[in-house]
Amino acid sequence: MQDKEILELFGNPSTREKAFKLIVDNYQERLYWHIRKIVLSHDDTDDVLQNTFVKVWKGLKDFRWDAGLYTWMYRIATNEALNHLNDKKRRRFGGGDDVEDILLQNLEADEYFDGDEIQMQLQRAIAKLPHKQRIVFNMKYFDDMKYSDMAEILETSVGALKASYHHAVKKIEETLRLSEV
Amino acid sequence: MDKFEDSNKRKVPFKMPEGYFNDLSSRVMDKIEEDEKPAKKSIVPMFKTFMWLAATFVLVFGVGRVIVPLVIDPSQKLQHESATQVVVNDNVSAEDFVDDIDELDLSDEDIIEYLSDQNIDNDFLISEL
Repeated sequence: MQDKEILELFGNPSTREKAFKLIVDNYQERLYWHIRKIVLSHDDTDDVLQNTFVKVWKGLKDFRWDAGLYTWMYRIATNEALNHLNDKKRRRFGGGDDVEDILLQNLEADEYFDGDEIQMQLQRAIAKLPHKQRIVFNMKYFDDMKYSDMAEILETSVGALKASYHHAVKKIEETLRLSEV
Repeated sequence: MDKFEDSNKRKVPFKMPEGYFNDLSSRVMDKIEEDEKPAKKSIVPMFKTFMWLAATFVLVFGVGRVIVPLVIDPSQKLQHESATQVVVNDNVSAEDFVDDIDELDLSDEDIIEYLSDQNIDNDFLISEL
């Protein structure tokens, strides 16, 4: 079923819940992995994903087709994930820890990490990047997403995204080079 | 980055608990229902407000009773401590209390002046003299 048809179902109170379950089923996995790459731990991802869908439920009544449904949900998920990290930073001893520290702790403590030492090194290097570069790097490197799609989700220009990705790669290379010394 | 260019290495190195997505939509719906329930009025915020007011009162009263007299007239500290010593000690017997009052060397006029400030019936005061 197409998104438009699902949204028509959602507009009818008697089929609203059924439509919403279809949306969750269609997008849960893609949104899960997008969030997981930002917050790194499964438990945090679970919290953020549920909050994302709660926001989607609340916002769908006013949804306009300025952006596709998927793009709109991706934006919500991205914001929720970043807010989650910032909240976590604030709650820890008055914000003493950096987001980078939180991410590294999430990475080390996550029982669902499923990679080798090289992949762990790469994840540590990605965790050191600023938010925007980290998200751009993940979308390009792991998801191989088109810059034009990324531009729509992140509401920025293709040129700025290319520059972000370039800077991210350089920083990761430098971090990895230093870790080998 | 060369060693990461291998397409296998581009796989996200995470997994998730088995069957995680099976009940996600139900859990989300539960959360939405919980979210849409009208919030119960908790007494905790009211209690917190009360505690803040009480703490503020104690602080203001403390500053007024202890610090301000010391700043204005340090000699009052001694008087304050003497009075407190006499009146506040729980273990004082009636005899000791009267002895302590005597030691303060109060004249009858002082006592009458004090009692007249306490809004006690004048006839009663005179009958007790």
